[in-house]
Amino acid sequence: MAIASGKGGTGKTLVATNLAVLLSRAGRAVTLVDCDVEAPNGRLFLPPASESAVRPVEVPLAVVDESACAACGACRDACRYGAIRMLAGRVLVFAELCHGCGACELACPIGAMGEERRRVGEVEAAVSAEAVRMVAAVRDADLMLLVTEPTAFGLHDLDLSYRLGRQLGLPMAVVVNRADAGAADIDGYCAERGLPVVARIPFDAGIAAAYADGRLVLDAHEEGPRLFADLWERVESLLDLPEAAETRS
Amino acid sequence: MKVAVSALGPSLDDRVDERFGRARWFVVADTETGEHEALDNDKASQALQGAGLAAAELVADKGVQAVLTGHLGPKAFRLLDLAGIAGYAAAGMTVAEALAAFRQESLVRLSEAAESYGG
Repeated sequence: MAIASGKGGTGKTLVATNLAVLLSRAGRAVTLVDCDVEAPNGRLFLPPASESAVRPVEVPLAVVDESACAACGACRDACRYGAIRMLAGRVLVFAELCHGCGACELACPIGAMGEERRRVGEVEAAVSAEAVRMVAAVRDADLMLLVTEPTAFGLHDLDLSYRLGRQLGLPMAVVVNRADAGAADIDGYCAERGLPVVARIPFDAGIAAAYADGRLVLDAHEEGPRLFADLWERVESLLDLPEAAETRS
Repeated sequence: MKVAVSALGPSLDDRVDERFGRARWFVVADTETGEHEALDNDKASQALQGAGLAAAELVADKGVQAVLTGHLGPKAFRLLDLAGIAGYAAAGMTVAEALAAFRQESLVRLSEAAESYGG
């Protein structure tokens, strides 16, 4: 099962760590792999038995070879992110806008555009270079569990993730975190698309405090075991009926 | 000296647009001759990102030495600074009033970039 979200901070780590421990305590063999590049915090809750190495995750960043550049502007015109500007015949790359897509490199008629590597985060060394990309990380899952929150950003990014999952033909289900903390109509969105909502985690100071202390909600909150057991029961019923899940998409 | 004013419309009587990158128009005026032209910024102002940079490039290509506007985002500020173009605060005025105030040196220089504006 892949646990994902478009928006950061919705509760992927919360759901993944609690679910992993719940299943492990129930006697199942569970492997938790944290592929989160920007905030791989799973190990704060479930420290690895042995010290595990981390490695940096890098993405390409466009660079111009100024000695070769003829200032034709082809790179600027090719950049759909507006990351390349020209000033007095000089090409300037704005790193914070560059998506590392390589279009400028293809567009440059004289090979003056290249790329360097920019560090964006880190993951456990055991996670493959491929798996830090969302598509690669979720592609082979039996189910993608999308964690969201009822805010405008949460709904917007849920939609991005949902559309990705639909393209990949993945069965999906939704967990609404901080379920009473926003006004966005997650339920309406999910109902329209036949997306099952398998859990609603309340906006609760006790849960937030436990998480901030690096403790599991399962252990720190009286509703924790019930909440995650119920979540798993619903997920399991979806996993047992893959045909039914597929016909929805 | 050539000056670019971010504006809600193309004429001297239109009001200054407080947004720089997402300004609807730029009025580029020559403070010596009084000549002016309007640049339509419609396309760039709707860009998903980088509107401030595109606008800075647009006015730099016109050879202006100052921009009169409301706010400058950090990236636009950097690009204008590289081009040696100074920004001045002219919110709430018409384009003509802003140009007059600039000639009288009564506008406040935008010394540091405001927060990113309008995403």
